[in-house]
Amino acid sequence: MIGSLSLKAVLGTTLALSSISTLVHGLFPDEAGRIDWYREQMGVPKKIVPYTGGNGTSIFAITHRNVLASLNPNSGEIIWRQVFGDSEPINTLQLRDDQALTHSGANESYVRVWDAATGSLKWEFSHPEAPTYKPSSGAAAFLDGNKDVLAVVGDSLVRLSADQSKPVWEVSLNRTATYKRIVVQGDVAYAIGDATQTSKARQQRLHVLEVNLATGSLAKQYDIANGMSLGSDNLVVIESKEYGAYVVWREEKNIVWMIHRLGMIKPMWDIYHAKIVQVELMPEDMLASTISELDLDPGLNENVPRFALTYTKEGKTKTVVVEMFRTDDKLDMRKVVGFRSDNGVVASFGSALPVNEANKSAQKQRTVVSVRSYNNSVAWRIYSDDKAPTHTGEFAYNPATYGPVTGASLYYTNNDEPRVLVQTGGGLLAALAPNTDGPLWSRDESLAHATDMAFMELPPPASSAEHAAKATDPSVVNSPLVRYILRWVETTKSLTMWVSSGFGLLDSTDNTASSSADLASRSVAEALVPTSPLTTGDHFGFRKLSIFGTSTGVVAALSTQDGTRSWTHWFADNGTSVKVEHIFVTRRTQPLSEDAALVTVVGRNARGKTVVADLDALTGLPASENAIQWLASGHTKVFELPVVDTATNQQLIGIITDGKEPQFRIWPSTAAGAKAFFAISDTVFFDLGGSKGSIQLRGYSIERSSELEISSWNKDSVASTKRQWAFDLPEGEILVKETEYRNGAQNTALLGRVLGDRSVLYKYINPHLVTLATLRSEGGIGIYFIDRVSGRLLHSAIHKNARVTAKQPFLGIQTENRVIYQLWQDGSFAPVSSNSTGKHQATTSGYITVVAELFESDKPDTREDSKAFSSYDILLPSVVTTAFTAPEAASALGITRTGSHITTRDVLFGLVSNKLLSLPDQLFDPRRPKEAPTKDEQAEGLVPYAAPLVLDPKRVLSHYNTVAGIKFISSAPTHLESTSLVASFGLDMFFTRTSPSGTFDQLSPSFSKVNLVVTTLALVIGCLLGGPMVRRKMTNQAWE
Amino acid sequence: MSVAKPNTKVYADFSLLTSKGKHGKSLRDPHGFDLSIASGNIASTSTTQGRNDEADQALRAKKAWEVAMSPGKTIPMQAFMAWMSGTSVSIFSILITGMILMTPVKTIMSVQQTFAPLERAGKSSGSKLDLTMQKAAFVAINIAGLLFGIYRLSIMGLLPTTTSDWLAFIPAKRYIEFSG
Repeated sequence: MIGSLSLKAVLGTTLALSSISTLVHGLFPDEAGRIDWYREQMGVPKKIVPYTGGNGTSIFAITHRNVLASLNPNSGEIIWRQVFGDSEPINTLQLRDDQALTHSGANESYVRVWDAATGSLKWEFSHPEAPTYKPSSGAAAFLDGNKDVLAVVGDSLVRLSADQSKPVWEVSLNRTATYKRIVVQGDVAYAIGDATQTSKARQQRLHVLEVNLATGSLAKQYDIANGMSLGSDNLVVIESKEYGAYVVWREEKNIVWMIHRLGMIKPMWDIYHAKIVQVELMPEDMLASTISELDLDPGLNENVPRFALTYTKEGKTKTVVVEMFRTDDKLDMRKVVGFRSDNGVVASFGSALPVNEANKSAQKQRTVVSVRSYNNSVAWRIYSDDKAPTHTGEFAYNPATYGPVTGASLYYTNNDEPRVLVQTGGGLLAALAPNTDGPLWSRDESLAHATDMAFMELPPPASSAEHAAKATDPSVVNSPLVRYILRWVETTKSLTMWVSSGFGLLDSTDNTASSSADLASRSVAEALVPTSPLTTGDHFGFRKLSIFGTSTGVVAALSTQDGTRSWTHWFADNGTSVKVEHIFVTRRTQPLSEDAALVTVVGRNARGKTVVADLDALTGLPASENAIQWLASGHTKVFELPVVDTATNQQLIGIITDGKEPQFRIWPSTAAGAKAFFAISDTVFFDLGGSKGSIQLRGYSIERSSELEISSWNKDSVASTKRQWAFDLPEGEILVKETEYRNGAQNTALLGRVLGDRSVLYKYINPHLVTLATLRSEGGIGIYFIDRVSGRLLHSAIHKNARVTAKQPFLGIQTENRVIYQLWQDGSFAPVSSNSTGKHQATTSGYITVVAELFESDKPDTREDSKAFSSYDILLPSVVTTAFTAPEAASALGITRTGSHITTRDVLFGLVSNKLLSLPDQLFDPRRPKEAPTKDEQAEGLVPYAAPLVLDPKRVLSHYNTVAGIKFISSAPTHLESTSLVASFGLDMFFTRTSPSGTFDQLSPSFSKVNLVVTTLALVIGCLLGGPMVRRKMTNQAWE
Repeated sequence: MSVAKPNTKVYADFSLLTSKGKHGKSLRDPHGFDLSIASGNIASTSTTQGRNDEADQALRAKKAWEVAMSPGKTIPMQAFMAWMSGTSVSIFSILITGMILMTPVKTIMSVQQTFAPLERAGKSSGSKLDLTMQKAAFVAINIAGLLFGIYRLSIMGLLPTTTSDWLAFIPAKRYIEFSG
């Protein structure tokens, strides 16, 4: 009997498991790159170093997304890249002897040496977190003649040997300065940093430390350059093997340049009048001048040191390249070349040495490039002396797309052809060559800094018959019947064409050509101005626009189908990028409607002021003259309102701005909008204080404005708000993260869960639910489920051994009646078995995924019987929770979304191992039986509980692609209920389609339409042939 | 089937033999044949005629009870088949449940035809036999069979009797408040 029961249990389990696993989740090889697309990115470069080594020239870059990358100089493709941790900014990049040196990390510092050709790690040295660490200090440099490295790590200066990668010697820096620069000069090295301000010396200045490289002994240390810091516009550090290293600066309100040779104490510095540099300067021009470094790798400089001086005179900006030279022990400076750099746009310059040794000796002088961007073009010139430029070029470029040029560098190909690399404020990197029209290649790295994304539905393609009918009489197509008939006409036409074209077999157009599987080329070979923006979607809703907002000010629309670009728009405030924070689609396109689709962008400038803009979603241009507006203050929260402005048919957006009490604004801020909003304003609530570090969550309602105010509502009008409740976190707890429902994740097709005995557990779905994760001072994580309308605590939990750090983040997502979150747990995750005396201690630590499912009652068939849900009802959910060990650390969580929510949802994990994983939500069922399943549990299809969530390779949506740095996962429904679009972005971008419950509403790829047609035809022919025969036979029979 | 078909001549009707031919009595009875004995009317006198009818009616009533009870004999077999086919929803169990449900319905529909031969008027007396009780029992037993079929449907989970069957028709709650 027992045997048969367990056999039944096994059978039941197998059945239940097979019911999940029968769906095929793998991908056919021919689908890879066809139903998905991938973009490999590196982020906006912080520093670009073209380097010529044993394997020719490549471009090396460290970026603001903490990536070290090597680019092919001819195509811009990434040859290799190394993605550093989110909390590990790269401070230094230096290239020598086919090796790349990086110094990275904040408190914890890492010095790494990479093989420049392959990107493989040669050796590394790490320094643990030090309490004496000065924030943002850290630098590293190769020593001359050998492969040792000198680095500032923690609060020490260390010499690292390449052989042992451990310190040869170490000097404590005693927190004297924030060291950011190391200059190596023969037997000694200098560490330069911003001196620590003490009670005696409060003024900013530089601190210089001289060490003997062989012994590590401190030769001397001293302060220079009062009032200056290393990042200042008025200070440069220049180096030359022959001339030594210098610090050149101009103190504020001073017109003279001071020059200090490192290591020299008496005299401390020389003073030079600025006129030495440029005769035409007047004192007031000198006061506004700035100085900048020219050489990308100053340590390689053998000849005279150089720098560039930029000043404005009579409204015109000019840049002069200056070099130092020595005559009879006297240091002097002279102008090398000067060029205009005004026109109200930023000019940039770079300098390089020709690659070829023969050429190098032939032209001793180094070249300098100047790049100016105009309203519709970028022009560049290369100078080697003060005569005419040796090379010039220009390419058509609209700064409204990626912003003006902010940086440039110069490099030479192996044939000594010059190449100019320009970087724009919006994050575009483009390589320019002489005698070519467009850029040689370009990379849009702004998308690696995406902050928000919205899907925009495109109207289905209207048939040409419809267009023709509309052209003759627009009112005709308003009738659905007419449109239906027109569609039939169109279909019949295309059928005849298909038949006459030989059933499509003769059609040679390759549909897959546009979505080339060449991954790397997608990131670079992209037209700066798309020739044909997307305006129509497809019949299945696979092709939508994904509109991205980035922190570099770029708003870009890409096709979800293949990643082709539709438009780009750069938001700026006085030439500096606006950080775009929110993207909303506020008006959708209607088929054959005149109203343009709108996308509303909310951003913030460097000073924290908020800008709101309406863009035409199909072209990216401002929708009207007043479409871009700056608010008087910054926003604290922005959300969509369930109201449509009746005048413009545009969905309203609520913006909370700072004030004594928070102020509420609506967008578009019009009287019609206000009228529509205040009709429902009594039911609108919001919460504040949900940011990291908060200790109190507050709920607000919106005060009704007077009728007069509503009827005269304008762009400066605000509604006042009223505090409804405050939820104080327990003593010693601070908020880590607030999670809410996103993208309609609370919608469901079924209000309850059907149990094995066919009774129902009703889901508790509260769209106002927010999950707070807090860090407890005594250790552990607190979890609170709060209703943000009433401020009521619905449920709370404590994870005593859990932790949240920068490297072990808390991730949460809410879907239907479930909250899923992931956190790091020290020790055992498993439920402690009760048979022991409570001493059950496991030692493993890892990520756990916790699921909490909310029901109206823990008793089946029990439901609050009302037609409406109010947060003020006295109904507390019954919560069932369980935990799993996560397969790997995730960096983002997501959930698939379909049109009617009938298809089961998959939970999407962006893994730190650069994969996008999708797991069925049945796995995350907290009701999975922990013991042998009962009959009812089997009937319900519950899979027996198993702690680990298994990483099934067939469920990796990103298949062979390396999707690094996923920060966001978003999903959109298609017109097919089975299929949803999935987008992941952060650093790399990966878009695909997925069908969590299988493609039940599509014919399988193996379905043969030809067979169907042939069979039908055979039957018809059979009837036609057989009919007369049967008739003759019957007649013959009748005659017998 | 052990049910007697109504037109099966279980009891021989020799009256035909006594009827005159066209040409009058042309055949003699065989030796030893006594019609009155053969037709069960031993006392073929007019005084015993009424008694013969009564016996015939009693016999037919008894027969009708047998007919009325006969469906009851099939129920155990149906139950056995139902048990064998299990409660899972499969083609086999559905077919058997369909049979269990349809047979009683069809039988109830044909209750008059079933009893027609038995309740027809006797040869001599003009009154029809009253088989109401037998018919009622017949119908009751078939209803029991039908109930068994319905019970079977319910244990197979095919009857919409639980809340989950009506879950899709419950309107979703309207949310009074909006929060952002």
